[in-house]
Amino acid sequence: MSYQEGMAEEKTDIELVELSLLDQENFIYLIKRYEHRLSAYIARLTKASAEDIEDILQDVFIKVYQNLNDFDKDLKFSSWIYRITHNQVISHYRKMQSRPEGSNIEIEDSVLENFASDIDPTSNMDKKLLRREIDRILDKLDRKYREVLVLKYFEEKDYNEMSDILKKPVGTIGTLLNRAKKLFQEQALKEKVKI
Amino acid sequence: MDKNKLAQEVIKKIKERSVKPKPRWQFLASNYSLWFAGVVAIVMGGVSISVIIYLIKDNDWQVYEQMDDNLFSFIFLTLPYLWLIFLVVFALAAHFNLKNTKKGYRLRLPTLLSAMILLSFVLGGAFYSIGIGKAIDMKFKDKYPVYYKLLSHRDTIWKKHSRGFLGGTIIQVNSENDFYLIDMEGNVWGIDASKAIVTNKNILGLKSRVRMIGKRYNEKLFQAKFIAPFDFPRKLMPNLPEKESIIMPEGMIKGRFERNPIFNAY
Repeated sequence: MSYQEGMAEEKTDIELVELSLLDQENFIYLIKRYEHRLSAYIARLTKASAEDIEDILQDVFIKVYQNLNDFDKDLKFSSWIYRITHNQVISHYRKMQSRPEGSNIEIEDSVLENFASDIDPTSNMDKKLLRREIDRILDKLDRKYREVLVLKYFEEKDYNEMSDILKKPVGTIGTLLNRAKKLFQEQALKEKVKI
Repeated sequence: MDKNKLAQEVIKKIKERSVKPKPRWQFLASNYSLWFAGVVAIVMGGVSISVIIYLIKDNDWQVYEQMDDNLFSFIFLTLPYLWLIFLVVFALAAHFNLKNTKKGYRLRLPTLLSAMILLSFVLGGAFYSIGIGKAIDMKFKDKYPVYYKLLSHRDTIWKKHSRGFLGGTIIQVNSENDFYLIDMEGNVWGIDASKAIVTNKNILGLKSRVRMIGKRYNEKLFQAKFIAPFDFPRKLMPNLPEKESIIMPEGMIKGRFERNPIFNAY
């Protein structure tokens, strides 16, 4: 890691936004900070290939750079960049005239446990099998339900962040999440999967 | 994915396409214009409500008792649908604009709608109290024939002479109980108001527009039981005919007219 990279690591998101506005080369540090998280998020929302994910990500970062002056410091920068990513995924698939379908990325064990115990606290399923089943059931849910489950359990966002990302009131997020959990359980029952 | 590769690729594209961050004022202008459009829509909603209040208050509620219709069919016939549609359109426009402001998405639809409706009602009440509702209705009737046609069922009631409704302009006053009136189709009527309840005696002057409920004696003579002002645009009244061309009604009050044959209205 170079000295500059080391310095950039210590900067907050807002400081990096300000530095990027002064010199576009500084935008690299914001890209590096978020590219892994965002590519995982895109992968969880879609079944896009690695190339597609990279294309979407490039468009996301160009859009972020173009709109840096629109970033509202009352929001978390991460919420704002997730929102742009979410919108870009939707518009990418609208252009391709197909809907995003399910995830194709490995789910971390901690996330898996958290998700399974929240849906069914008695869950003791084998992790490998659980991972596959969660993936399959998520695939079958409507996009709006999949989105909230992904944001809550895989991106570990709180209600306010989810509200800022999806541009929906906090109350609506709560309702959506409850319905998503219920639908997930119903789908699991239908598929005779015990999570 | 190679971390440096993606970052370098993005920066390269930014440079190639000469992408620059859009200036802050553009975002501010777009946000303020949404607020402005939202506020304008709320004010217009208020204006619509003021006209609705005016039209409902001015809805000749005493008339329905004289008609065969029941209250619901009377309300159904006379509701100001056009302004109700305007109100819905402005409410939707206000909702769309405010929802799309920077933090508008945080407001829940019921909260936003109730706030907008409450605000529109407060504004509507205020506009009505200073006469904006009436002024707009009259202006629209004068300027836009289509508007008048849409609301004409309210005024056509006053053309139903056989059912005891008559509206028009007073063209000669012999006494407060005895005057001539020209109706919306240009017919001259002799009016016997001796048994009439008049909302305000001052309305029985020359060129006053009045509407009345009563009984038609024949094609030219009418006995009024109730007389009220008629807020009908002057422009839409038929032109007053030349006095020589007016055929005066004969019959019940013929003698009184003959005593005073000059048409004071001219």
